[in-house]
Amino acid sequence: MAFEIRVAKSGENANSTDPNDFIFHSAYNTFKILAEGTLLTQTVNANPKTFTLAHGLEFVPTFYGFAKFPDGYIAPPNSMDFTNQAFVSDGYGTFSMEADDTNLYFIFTRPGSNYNVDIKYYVFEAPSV
Amino acid sequence: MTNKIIIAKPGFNVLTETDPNNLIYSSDYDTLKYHLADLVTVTVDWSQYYHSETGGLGTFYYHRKVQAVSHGLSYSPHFVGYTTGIIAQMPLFFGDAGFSVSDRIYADATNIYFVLDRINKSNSGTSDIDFRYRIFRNRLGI
Repeated sequence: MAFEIRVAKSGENANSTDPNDFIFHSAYNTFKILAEGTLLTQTVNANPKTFTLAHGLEFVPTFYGFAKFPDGYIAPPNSMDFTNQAFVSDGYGTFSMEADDTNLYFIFTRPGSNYNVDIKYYVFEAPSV
Repeated sequence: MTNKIIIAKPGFNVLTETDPNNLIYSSDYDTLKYHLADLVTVTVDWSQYYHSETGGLGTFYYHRKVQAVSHGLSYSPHFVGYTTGIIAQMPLFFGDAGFSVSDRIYADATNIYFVLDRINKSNSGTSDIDFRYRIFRNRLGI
């Protein structure tokens, strides 16, 4: 007989069949973070500016990240900075992420003056392609 | 010897398997630790616009609404937001000749911020626009 390890949420029954009722359930994979880190005080001094980081894996991983602009607000990928009014100003610039089987790429635009950003990145276990 | 908790997928040896894709759980790897999920309704007053332009298609009004929601943590956490109706991960940008939409999400050590920019032909009335969001306890460290 196969056995399972289940940790139910408070108020839920460990015999539930809904995976959302569990803190942990050994029948379901956990989305493991293989690597994470920060790149602090990176200067966006070109337009566009790409910061490259080797991820050390032999496949294109699932990835995610955030960037903190000089205004102090943290944005997810494919964002412009908070101050940017979207249709009437360019603000500091935009942030996006890409990856291949070697590197993560953090891409920023710089429509105006140079600025500094802090970057947070995650590399997850599963290949993205 | 370092103690570990490892649960392998069926068919893999928990004592020898090193590929994390073949493990259900391994204490060698961090995970996203869930804090909360909620819905926020942002009410936009279309009479509040900061710019207007009149052209061949009529007058267009520029709107911006920012709504802060406290996340209850003392640091900047991992976060994600979704639009409703058309469920898309934020930020979301789209438009056509008659309107433009920019729905964005940000965070700092205190709040999650929903930032809506719109260009449309509305200059009166209100709309309630819903967003869903999830906060994780993982500290971003930036």
